[in-house]
Amino acid sequence: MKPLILWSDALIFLLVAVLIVFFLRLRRDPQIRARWGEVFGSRLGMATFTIIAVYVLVALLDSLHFRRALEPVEGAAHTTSEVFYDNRVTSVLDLMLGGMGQRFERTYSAPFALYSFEKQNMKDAQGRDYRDFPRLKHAGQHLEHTDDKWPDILARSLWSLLPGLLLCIVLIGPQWLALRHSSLPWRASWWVQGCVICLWVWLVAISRHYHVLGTDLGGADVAYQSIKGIRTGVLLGTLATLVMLPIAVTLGVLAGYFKGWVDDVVQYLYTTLSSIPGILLIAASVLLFQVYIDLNPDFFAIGMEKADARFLALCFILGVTSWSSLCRLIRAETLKISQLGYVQAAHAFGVSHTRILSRHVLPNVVHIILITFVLEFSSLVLAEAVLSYIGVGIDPSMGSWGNMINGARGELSREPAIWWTLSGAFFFMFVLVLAANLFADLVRDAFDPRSATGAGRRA
Amino acid sequence: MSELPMEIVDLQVANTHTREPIIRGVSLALQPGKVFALVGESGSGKSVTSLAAMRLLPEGLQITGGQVSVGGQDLFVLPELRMREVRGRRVAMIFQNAMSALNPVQTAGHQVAETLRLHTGLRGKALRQRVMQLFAEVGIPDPQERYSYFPHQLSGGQQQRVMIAMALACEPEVLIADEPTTALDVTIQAQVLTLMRGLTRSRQLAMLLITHDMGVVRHTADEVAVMYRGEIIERAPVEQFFLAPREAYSRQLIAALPDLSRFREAAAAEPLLALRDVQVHFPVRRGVLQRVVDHVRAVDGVSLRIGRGETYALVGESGSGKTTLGRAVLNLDALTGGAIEFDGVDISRLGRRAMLPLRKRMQVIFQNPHSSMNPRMTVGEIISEGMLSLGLDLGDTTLEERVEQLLSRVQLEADFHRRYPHELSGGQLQRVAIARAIAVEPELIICDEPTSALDVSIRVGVLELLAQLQKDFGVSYLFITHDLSIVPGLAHRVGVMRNGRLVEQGSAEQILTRPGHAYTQALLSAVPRVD
Repeated sequence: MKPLILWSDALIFLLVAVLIVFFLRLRRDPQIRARWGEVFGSRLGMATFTIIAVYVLVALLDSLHFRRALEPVEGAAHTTSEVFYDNRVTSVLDLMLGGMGQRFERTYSAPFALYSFEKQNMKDAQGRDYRDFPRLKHAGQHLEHTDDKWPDILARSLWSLLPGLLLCIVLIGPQWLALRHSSLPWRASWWVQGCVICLWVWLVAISRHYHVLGTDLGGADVAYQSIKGIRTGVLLGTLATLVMLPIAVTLGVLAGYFKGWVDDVVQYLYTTLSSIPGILLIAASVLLFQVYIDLNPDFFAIGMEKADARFLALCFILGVTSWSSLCRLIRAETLKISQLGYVQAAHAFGVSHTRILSRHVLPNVVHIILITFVLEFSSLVLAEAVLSYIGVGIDPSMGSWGNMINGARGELSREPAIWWTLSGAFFFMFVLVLAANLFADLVRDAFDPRSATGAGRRA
Repeated sequence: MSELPMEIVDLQVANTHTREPIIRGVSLALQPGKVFALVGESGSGKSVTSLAAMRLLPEGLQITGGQVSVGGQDLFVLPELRMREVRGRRVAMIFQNAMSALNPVQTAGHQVAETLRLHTGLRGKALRQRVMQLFAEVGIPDPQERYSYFPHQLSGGQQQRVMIAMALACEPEVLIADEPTTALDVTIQAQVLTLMRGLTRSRQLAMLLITHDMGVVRHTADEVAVMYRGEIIERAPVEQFFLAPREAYSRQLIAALPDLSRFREAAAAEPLLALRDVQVHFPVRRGVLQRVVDHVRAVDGVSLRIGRGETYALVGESGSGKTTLGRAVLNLDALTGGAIEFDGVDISRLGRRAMLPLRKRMQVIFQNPHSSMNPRMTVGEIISEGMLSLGLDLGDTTLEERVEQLLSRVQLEADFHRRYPHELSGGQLQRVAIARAIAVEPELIICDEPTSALDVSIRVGVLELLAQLQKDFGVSYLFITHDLSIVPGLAHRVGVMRNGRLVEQGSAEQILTRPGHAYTQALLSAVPRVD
């Protein structure tokens, strides 16, 4: 086994670390702490945050990559002690899913189906050709009669509840002991955690014998694909936002504070940028980068690295093209703040520009940054789906909701329709985007000084 | 139930969430043709009383008891649809800020006509005629032409007059005026008050006047009620109230009114600051290429001197350029012409860096204490920022000790340095602002309306503190204000500014007792006084 660190793996861990440090630092400010208290004081805030945390955790687990060592091939020279590694990359998440990703069928099959979705030429015992729906290799092979399917599924589901609940007790019990007297509504979080744990155990147990969400064109398990899409979605959302934030904040603050020609230049930049249709710009940039990857194959050892490079490029491009609206907001806010008394007073004290910007201006636009971060996150996850749809999204070898939705174009128009790939991607994306949006609403209510319930409002 | 135009009996309002009472049983009755003044400081519940009576309370507050009747009709039993008829038709309201109450995209005449159309049968020519009549009645000059003016084309006083016309449009029995003149300049304030007073008499209106300004009360009201923390603590006819106030709090409010007979002697001191023909013009840019087409002459040739330990009051109405002049002295706005000499050094051409050593000697206090403190910094950090930035020599005291000394100097407790601005009241914040300014031991402090955002009783304390500091440290003040009434006990010399120019300057006594310029006389006559 050989660990493999992709660029995006390193980045996601770095990001999570930076975010944790950032929030720990924010905690020191009692005002900000009170507002976060407001967010987490509601059951909705707690529940949605737990869901987001689960997604991030899955993404992190899916970012611990390694390559399996291959068995020495028979007949190969035994003299070399060199070990060859699998070209396919596995992650810790794959292990936790119990080999769910390794059970391939030939092609489409419906959720919980025992037979393939498409007919196939087969030979019967006498060697005659006939055409029928073949049995699936990894679904219901243990059944003696196909009629036993539903009772079997029910029995296995009930049995899986037992280890699920046990795991809940092991994982949630200590939290309960530690936090039961807390004033925050941890109960909401525990319910969500319990549901997620039970679902997970159930999924792992059932998927040994059935394809819970069916299989796609290539015979891959749709539930597995959808879960693999989480890392792509989460990483794309955060990474692109974090590429965008520094550009938007720096330019916005500088333009609003220094005004004059700096302002002119920044305004010129973002008006130009926002007058080019975003999708076209992104598509052109991604295609350019694709050409670069194709021309320099020796930079990338395996296919996964290529896909990773393309993915990072996409994040970067999405970030670079979407900063104009936030920049405009921050510029306006800075214009306002720099006219306020405390900035004027700082000028009168001869405080340097950098210090005024870092002590007086930046802390007072943080609420805009926070709100935008959470809102932008969900819109970027959605943007990925759109880009994959027009064919400039994530490399198809990397699991992504966008690609799954893109594939559904042809599947839905068939008769009978193949609805499960779209549903799988849709469900996981919907839960994430909904949780992120609800959470963003709460954050905005707590932090936006203009909202009526904000703690910072003064009558 | 009585047939009084409006009667409020034992009105109670509480916070919906905390159940904390805001109004604790307020009762009052309005008489036709009389002005009833409800006086109190901000937060005393006077506006909430009027909103509750009209069932217009903002979210989070609710009426918990009491009765309000208009002409014998109990308002709290009416359905919302009928209530809407009462508002506007029987009871009209005027608010503080006319500009935000008027729709900016409709003409003034159209908005008044709209109200008439809603509540009366007037249409077409007759409607227009009626609007003209109303405009003439509220003293809008040239109603024919003003009819098609948009709100931004009208002056502040005219906007307020349009609001009054709108309120009067449906011949209401009761007029509720919530701080109707607070946003106006003094000269205009006097005119609007006289107008409202006259209308009350001529139309037999019952008016509820809500204000914090005792001068306004004296000028306009027939009966006064003082509100304090949600209760009416004293009620009396206006003459009796000013002659013999019962409550200590009322006496304090009256005492806060200016005494226009005590003056400070003009001190012949050595000069500290000298302005020579100072001009600050802002370019007006138009078109694609942002060409400069004209200049706004914010300050246009001002010359004045301030001596050491002297207070110079710069008086003028909004837009007269007095704040810009203050900024120019601080070298925050560049001069177009003239020179500013501070202790013999021409500072008007100094750059940011060259200005640094002088920053220590010149400080500023702003009007709004809430916006002049960074909400993310503690009081301690706010006060020490200047000392750190200017590298002040602290001797052997630590920064924290120094901050505590300063806090006690401005009569605040030492443990304030760990608090955040939002935990402090306006008066306390202004004291912090003063502490911040004197932290670097300046020789000149520019006070830009430091008391106009404060309640009257707190105002006195802040002004006394400033005077005490002047005595102790010999600091000079350039005191910018629109309020002539605070000048006597404060300033040695006064300059009156209008449209960027000083129209008159001299000793405080001379300006306030023997004003030479017509504009100064107008300003003076508009100061509401108790005598």
